Amino acid sequence: MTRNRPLTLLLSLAMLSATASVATAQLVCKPKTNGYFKLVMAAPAAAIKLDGLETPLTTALGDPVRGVQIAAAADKGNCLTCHKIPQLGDEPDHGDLGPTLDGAGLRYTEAQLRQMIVNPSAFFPDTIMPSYHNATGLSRVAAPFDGKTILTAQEVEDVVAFLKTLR
Amino acid sequence: MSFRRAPFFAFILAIAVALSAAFANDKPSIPPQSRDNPLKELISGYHFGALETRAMQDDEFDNPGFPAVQQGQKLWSIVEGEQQKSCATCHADASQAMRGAGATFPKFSPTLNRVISLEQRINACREEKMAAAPWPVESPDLIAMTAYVRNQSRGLAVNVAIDGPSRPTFELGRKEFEMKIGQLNMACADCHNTRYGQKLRGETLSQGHSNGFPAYSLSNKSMQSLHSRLRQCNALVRAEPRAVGSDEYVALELYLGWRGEGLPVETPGVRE
Repeated sequence: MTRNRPLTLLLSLAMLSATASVATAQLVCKPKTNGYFKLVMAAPAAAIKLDGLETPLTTALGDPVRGVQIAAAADKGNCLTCHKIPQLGDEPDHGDLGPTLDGAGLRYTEAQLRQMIVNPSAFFPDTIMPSYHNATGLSRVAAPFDGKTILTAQEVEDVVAFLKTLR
Repeated sequence: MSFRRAPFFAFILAIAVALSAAFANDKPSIPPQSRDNPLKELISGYHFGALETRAMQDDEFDNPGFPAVQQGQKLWSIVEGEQQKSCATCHADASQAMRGAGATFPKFSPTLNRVISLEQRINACREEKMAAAPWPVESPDLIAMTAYVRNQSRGLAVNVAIDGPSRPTFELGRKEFEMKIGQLNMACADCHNTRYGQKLRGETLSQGHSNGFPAYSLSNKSMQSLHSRLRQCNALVRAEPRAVGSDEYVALELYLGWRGEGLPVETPGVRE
């Protein structure tokens, strides 16, 4: 009996902290259209049949170090708005509209990663992720961005080089 | 009972308490009134705010939006214009005359032959009945009077008319809500119909309802009209915002009213 007392105490403490954390946590409502990428995320890499973009957008090789900065910058890739990227360090305020990018370099080939940045809806028809290298077919683009792509061709290659390192 | 089992019971109790806490913390929702509503449950933006934000909204003394309501109350009986009238001259006591009125806007105006926002209704009154100059769009006085009139409907359900002469405006509003815009190519619907509750950076996406507006914006540290909030949202997806009071925003406001029909008017809401 005495042997168990510390354990009971510990469990009670755990119980209290669990209650506290649940009480303060934001309730997560059920997303209804994200099933598709979750399916793909759970599939073994070999089973993913997605046509990649084989040809790089630039002749210069992508630079993963620059890619990190572009991915993190709010006025560039701004990836953390929707994705968790553990490799960018402790970032509690990342979004969760998209999946974690951890392991992206394992799940996808370079060509697929490129396609994912250039035309994500080619992979995920119901994604809301924008194309990062397209300036046509858009409406009411604000003047400073009109006619421009979110990332330049080189910036896309840099981000792809960074994503390849996420293993 | 052996005390050896105590950890087991403590564990079960922990799960039970955690579960009940989780349910107690669930966001209250109401069912949509129309089957055509893209939302299957309506949750006010209030419930997406932090506990402190909600407490602030609930307390008339802490709610930073109430000074605007009080400003509106003052303006209510100030005589202006060639007709030497104030709002009170015709409507007397706002708490009676305006009870419920704010919950029904935007609304079709037979005299103007178009759907108008509450702001536009107030200014039409100033021009037609008081022969006073309309308050400039986004002026503190116009926002204050809008907040004051809407506040008279606090707790009443949003209830807008979308049929008859309002129908084309409603359809325009629906189109505005569903159209992908800006360099980021996103529609209001993309984030607020199915992805509410998910995190956009550090912020939780709400359902994008209008029932708290004009609302006090904690990040802007000022009262904010609904149209100003829509401009902010548009700019986020790198789209050219519409003008405050534009036909498209009034239409979108009508659509949002219908989409949140049944939610209580909260003006002045407090939003993060």
